[in-house]
Amino acid sequence: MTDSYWSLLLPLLRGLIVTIELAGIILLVGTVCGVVGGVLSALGGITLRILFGSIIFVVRGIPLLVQVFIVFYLLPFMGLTLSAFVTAIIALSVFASATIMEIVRGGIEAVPHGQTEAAMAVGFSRGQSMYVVVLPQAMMSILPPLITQFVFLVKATSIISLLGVPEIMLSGREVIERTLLGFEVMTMIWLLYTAICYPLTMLGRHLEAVLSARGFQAVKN
Amino acid sequence: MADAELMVRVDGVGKSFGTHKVLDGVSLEVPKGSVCIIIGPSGSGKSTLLRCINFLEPYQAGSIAIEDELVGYSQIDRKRKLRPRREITRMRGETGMVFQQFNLFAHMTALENVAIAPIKVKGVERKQARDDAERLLVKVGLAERMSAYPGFLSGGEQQRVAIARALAMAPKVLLLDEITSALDPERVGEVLEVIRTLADEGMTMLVVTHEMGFAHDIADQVVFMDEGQVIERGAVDILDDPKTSRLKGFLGKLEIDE
Amino acid sequence: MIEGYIFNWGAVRQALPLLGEGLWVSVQVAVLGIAFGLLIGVLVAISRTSSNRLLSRCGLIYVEVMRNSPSLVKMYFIYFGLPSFGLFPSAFLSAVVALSLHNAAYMAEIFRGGLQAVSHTQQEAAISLGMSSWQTFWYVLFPQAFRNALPAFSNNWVEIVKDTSLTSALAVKELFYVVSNLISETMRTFEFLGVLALIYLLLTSMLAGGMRFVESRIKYRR
Repeated sequence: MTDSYWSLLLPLLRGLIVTIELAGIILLVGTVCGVVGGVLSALGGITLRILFGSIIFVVRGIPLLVQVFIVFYLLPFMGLTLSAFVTAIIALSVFASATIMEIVRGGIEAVPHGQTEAAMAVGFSRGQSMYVVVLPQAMMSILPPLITQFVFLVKATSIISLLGVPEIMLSGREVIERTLLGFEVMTMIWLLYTAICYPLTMLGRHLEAVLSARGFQAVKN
Repeated sequence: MADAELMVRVDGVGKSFGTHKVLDGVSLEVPKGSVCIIIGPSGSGKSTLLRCINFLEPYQAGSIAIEDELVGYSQIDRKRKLRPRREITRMRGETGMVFQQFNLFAHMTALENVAIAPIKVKGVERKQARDDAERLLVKVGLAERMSAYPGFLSGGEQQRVAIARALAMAPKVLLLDEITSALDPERVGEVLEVIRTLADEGMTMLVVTHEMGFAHDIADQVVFMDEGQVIERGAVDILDDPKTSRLKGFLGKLEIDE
Repeated sequence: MIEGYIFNWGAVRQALPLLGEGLWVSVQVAVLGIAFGLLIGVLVAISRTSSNRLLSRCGLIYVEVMRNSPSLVKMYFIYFGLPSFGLFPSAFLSAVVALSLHNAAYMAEIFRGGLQAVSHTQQEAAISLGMSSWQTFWYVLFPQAFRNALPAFSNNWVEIVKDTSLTSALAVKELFYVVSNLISETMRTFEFLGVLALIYLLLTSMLAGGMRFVESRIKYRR
C-alpha cells in the first residue's frame, strides 16, 4: 500500500520541484522589474503613465492562459526557439512584472501628500523627500498585497501545464492516466499547493499585523 | 522701520489658481522676535500666504523676503526668475512650518521625526541630533513618548512633536497654519502653551488661527484678511476696536458663534 | 515586428459562428460560476461571522483550503476524482462547480469585509424597531454589505470571466478551446489570437464598466 502511494508521490514531487523553480524565478524577475517599473510609473511623466497604463489594461483584461499562448507562438515566430520552460518563464514574468508594478505604483501614490509637504517644509530636497519619507512608507504598505500577489503567481504556474511544461499539474495528469487514481492524486496535489501557499498567506497576515502594531495604518494624516 | 529689524517682508504679493485670485496685493511686515497673527474667514488666503512664504506654493506677483533674502524668485524689478532649487530648499530649512494635519512621518518614532531633518539636511551627527531631539521633546512635554509612533499619539501629542520637529532645524521664523483646528478642545491648551513659551523666548512667528483669546494674549501684530486682501492691520487692540466694518462683522460673527 | 506574415482574415470570417458558440459557452460558465459562487460565498461569510465557534471554524477552513490552491486543481479533482466514487460529472458541470467553489471563498471574504464595514448602529436601530435577526440581516445589513462589496466583487467576477479559458483543460467547448482548435486547423495563428484577445478585452471591460455604472447608481439611492 505504502509502495503504491510512493510511486504516485514521486513523479508529483518531481513536478513540484519544477513548479517551485518556475515560481521562484518568476517572483524574482517580476519583483525586480515590477519595483523599477512601479517607481518609474509613479514618478514619471505622462507618456510613461500612458504606456504602462496600456500594458496593465491588456495584462488585466486578457486571461493569463491567452497571454502565455501568445508568447508561445510569438517567440518562435520572431526567430527565438526556446524550451517550453523558458517561454513559460518569460510569459509569466511579463504578467508578474505588470501586476507588481501596479501594486508598487499604487503604494507610492497612496502615501498622503501631506507627508511630502512636511518633508519639503523641513528642508528636504525632492530626492530626499522620496528616499527618506515617501518610499519607505510606500514599501511598507505594499508588502501585504505583494505577498498576496506572490501566492497568486505560485498558483498561476498551474496554467503552464496546459502548454506542456512538466510541473506538478501535468505530472498529476500523467499519473492519473496511468493509474486512474484521480481522487488520490488530486488530493495530494491539492495538499502540496496548500503546503506552499498557506505559509505565504500567513506571512502576509503577520506582516499586516506588524504594520498595524506600529500604528502604521492608523496614521493617514 | 529699518530693514535689518524685519524678519519677514511681504510686498504686494499676488497669486491665482487659474482664474481664481487667491492673493491680491498682500503686504505685511513682521519684525524679528514678534508674533504676527493672521485671522479671517475661510478662503481668505491666509494659509496660502503662509505656504508662499516657505515657497510650498509659487506666486505670480510681488515679493517675499526673509531677513532680506528673496523667497522663490530673484530680480523682481526687471524680470522675475525662479531661484535655483538648492537655494529654495535651503530657505525652507530655515523656515519652520507646522501643519493643521500634523503630517508626522508615519514610519518613524517621535524622536526620529524630530532628529531626521538635522541629520539629513544639515549633516548633524546622529548622536548629537538625537540628543537635541530629546531635549526638544522634553521641552514640549513629551519626554515619555519619544519612542512612540505617530499612530499611537493623540492629536495634541502629534502636534507638539510637529512643533519640535520644526524647531529642530533652528528656524528663523515659524509658520503655524491653524495648528489647533484639527484638535479636540481639551487638547488645544497643551499646544497653545508651547507656542506661548516660544513667543516669550523671542521666536518670530506668523500664526494663522481661529483662537481669538490666544491671539489676544500673544499677538504683537494682527492682520485681518478677506478674499485674498489685507483688510486691516495693526496692534492687538484692533481686535477690541476694529476700524473696518468687515473686521467688525467677522469678529461679531465669531462672538455669536461662541 | 511581424515580418513575412500575411494576414488573411477570411478564415476568421468563416469561423465567426463557431466563435459565437464558444463565446456563448464561456458566458454560461462565467454566469453560473458567478451566481453559485456568490450564493455559496455569502453563506460561508455568514458562517464565518457567526457566534457559533464550530460554524466559524468551518468557514475559515473552507476559505483557507480554497484560496491556497489554483482553480485548475478543483476542476481536475471533480472531473478526475469523483469517478473513483462512481460519480461521472460532465466537463461543463465540473468546470462550473469548480469555479463556483473556488471563487466562493474569495467572495466570502469580500462579503465579510462588506458586512464589517456596515456601521454597528444600523443593527441597533433595526433591533430597537423590533426587527428580528433575520429581518435585520436581510433588510438592513445584507443590502449595505452588498453595496460595500461591489467594487471588490467586480474584480473577482472579472477574474472568473478570464478563468473560463482554463476550463478548456477539461475540453469544455468554450471560446479558448474553440480558438486553439481553429488555430491548429487553419494555421491562422495571429489573426485568431488577435480576435481572441480582443473579445476577452471587450468582455472584461464591459463587465467592469457595467459594475461601475451599477455602483454609481446605487450610491445615489441614499
